[in-house]
Amino acid sequence: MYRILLFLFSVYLGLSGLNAQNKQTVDSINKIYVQGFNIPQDSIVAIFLKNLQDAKDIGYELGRAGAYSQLGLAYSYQGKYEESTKSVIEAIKIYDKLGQLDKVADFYGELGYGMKYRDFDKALYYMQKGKTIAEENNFENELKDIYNNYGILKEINKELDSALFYFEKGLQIKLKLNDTIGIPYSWSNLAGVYGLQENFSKSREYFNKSLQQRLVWADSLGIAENYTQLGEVFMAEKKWKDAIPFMHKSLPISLKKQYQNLTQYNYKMLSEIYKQLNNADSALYYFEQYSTVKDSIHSIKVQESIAALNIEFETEKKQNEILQQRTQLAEKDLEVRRKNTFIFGSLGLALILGLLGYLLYNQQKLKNRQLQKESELRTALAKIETQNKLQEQRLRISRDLHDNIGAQLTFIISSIDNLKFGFTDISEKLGNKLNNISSFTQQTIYELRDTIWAMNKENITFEDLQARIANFIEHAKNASEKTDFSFNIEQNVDESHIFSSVAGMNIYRIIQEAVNNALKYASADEIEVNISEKEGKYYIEITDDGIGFDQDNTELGNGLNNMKKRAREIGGTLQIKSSKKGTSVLLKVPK
Amino acid sequence: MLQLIFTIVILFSILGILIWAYTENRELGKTHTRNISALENEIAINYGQVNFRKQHLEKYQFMQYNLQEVLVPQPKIKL
Repeated sequence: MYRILLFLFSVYLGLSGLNAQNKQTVDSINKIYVQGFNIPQDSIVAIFLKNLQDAKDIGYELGRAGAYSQLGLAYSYQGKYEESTKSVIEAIKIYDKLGQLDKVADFYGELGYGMKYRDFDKALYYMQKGKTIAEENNFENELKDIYNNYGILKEINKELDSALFYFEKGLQIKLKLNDTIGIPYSWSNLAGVYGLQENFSKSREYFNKSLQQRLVWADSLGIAENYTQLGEVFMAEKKWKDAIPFMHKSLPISLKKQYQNLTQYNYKMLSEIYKQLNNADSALYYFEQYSTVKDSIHSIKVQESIAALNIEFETEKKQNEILQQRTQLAEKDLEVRRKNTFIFGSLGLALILGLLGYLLYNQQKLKNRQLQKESELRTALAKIETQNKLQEQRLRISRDLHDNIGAQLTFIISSIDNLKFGFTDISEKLGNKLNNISSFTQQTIYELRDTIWAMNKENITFEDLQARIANFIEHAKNASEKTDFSFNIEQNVDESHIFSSVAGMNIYRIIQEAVNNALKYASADEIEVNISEKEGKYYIEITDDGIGFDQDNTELGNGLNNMKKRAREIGGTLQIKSSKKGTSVLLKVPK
Repeated sequence: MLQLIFTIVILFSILGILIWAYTENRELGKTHTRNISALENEIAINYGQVNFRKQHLEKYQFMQYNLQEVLVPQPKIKL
């Protein structure tokens, strides 16, 4: 389980790494400098559209916003202003969703400024939105530009006081932030509005301030522009002669920096001034200079157009090649993606199948173990059940046997007793015979009981047999007080032995018969029962010091015959030795 | 996107398989425990009956021949 989770975690990490890499790619493409990208605008649009799709695929919102803003710029260069506006608005929506309000304000401001000559009302609307957001959140960095651009809108709309107000606001922020590049622009803007209001001294003052700042920073182009603007102020005041030095200060700088438009403008202004001063030669000279620069600009423009067309032609060729390469790359990319997807899918499928196989195998193993255990228990149950039922059946049969035959034998004894009492004149011989039959029948009942018991009892331990023999001897002691009894078991006897119930029963009955004979017929004073073990046999000896009997001349009675029969039944032998000093009965039983 | 869907499908499949295996194994375990318990109970009953019989047969006295007392049938045992 732990290994499976570790593997899944690794897969997750791998996918996360891939995602981070894709984000980096999206960001890198979004950072492309559109203005300086020397390929056709269609290609630029295609690049950002693809980037937008990639960002969407990986769910990278910031990347999407970046792609939309770049698309807006690219469309505006193509003149597709509607698409441009839509793209910028999409970018604004995403930035808004992400809570990046500074960007929202900035893009609204730029959007408004960009459409100032196409749709002034909309320009004003977007600019105001940007301004409001920036003001609410005090985004000073954005506000300084928004105020400046907003002032320009006001100036275009001839709302000069309002324009002055916003230029001033923008200037204050720039001063606060020490924006040394932005400050002269604001001063120039203010000076321009003052000029339009015919407040020439104020206009001159701000142009001079701007000029001083630009002189400090050696901003040549700005300096040249300010000189020309100062000249223009004098021209507006119709102070023609005062305007000339400023134009002459601007001219060498614009010539040196090849600022052709300003050079052309300066020549034009100088021609105008000299015209007003009725200096025809100078006016003509500067007009010729103006025309030359104008032609030169035109020529340059033509050359630039040819070069541009050339570049366009070359780039079209290259573009086709790039498109072909891109198509090939896209196909390869698609192929690689397909392969990756196939490998990934196969691995996933293999993982699932492997896991399923492993779990099924484990489950089968568990089932087998359970079935084996259940089977063992079922076998054991069947065995014990069969054994139990067999024993029970045997016990019930035994009981029936005992009840039926026992009752019949008892009836025989009772009948004989009735005969003896009913016929008082029977002879002694017949009486003895009847007594013998009665005694034999009684013995049969006892033997029947022993047999039935032995049949039901499987075995008897040595210890149990020993206890029963000791009990019998104790009983005999109590019955015959003048006789000494002793019961000995030698130390080498294996007391852990288990006899079959038949063997145990017969050994007990032989000992019982021998002891009874010694008491009844031998008038013994001492009776001894010894048990020993030799060569894998039990030696059970019953000896007495009685009067003995002559084995050759005495007919063996039922008792002795029974003892021999019992010894044979258990595979043993019985030896009887008798003399006038006593009798010995030796029973040898194999273990 | 496709890879993400694949990953989710695979992860859910694995989770589903693990839950199924866990449930199945738990059910197997319960059934097994029930069976074992029933079998052990049956065996214990049989052992009890055998021991009951043995204990009574032990009570047979060789001198009294009290067979009637030691042969005790058990009616619960169906033959």
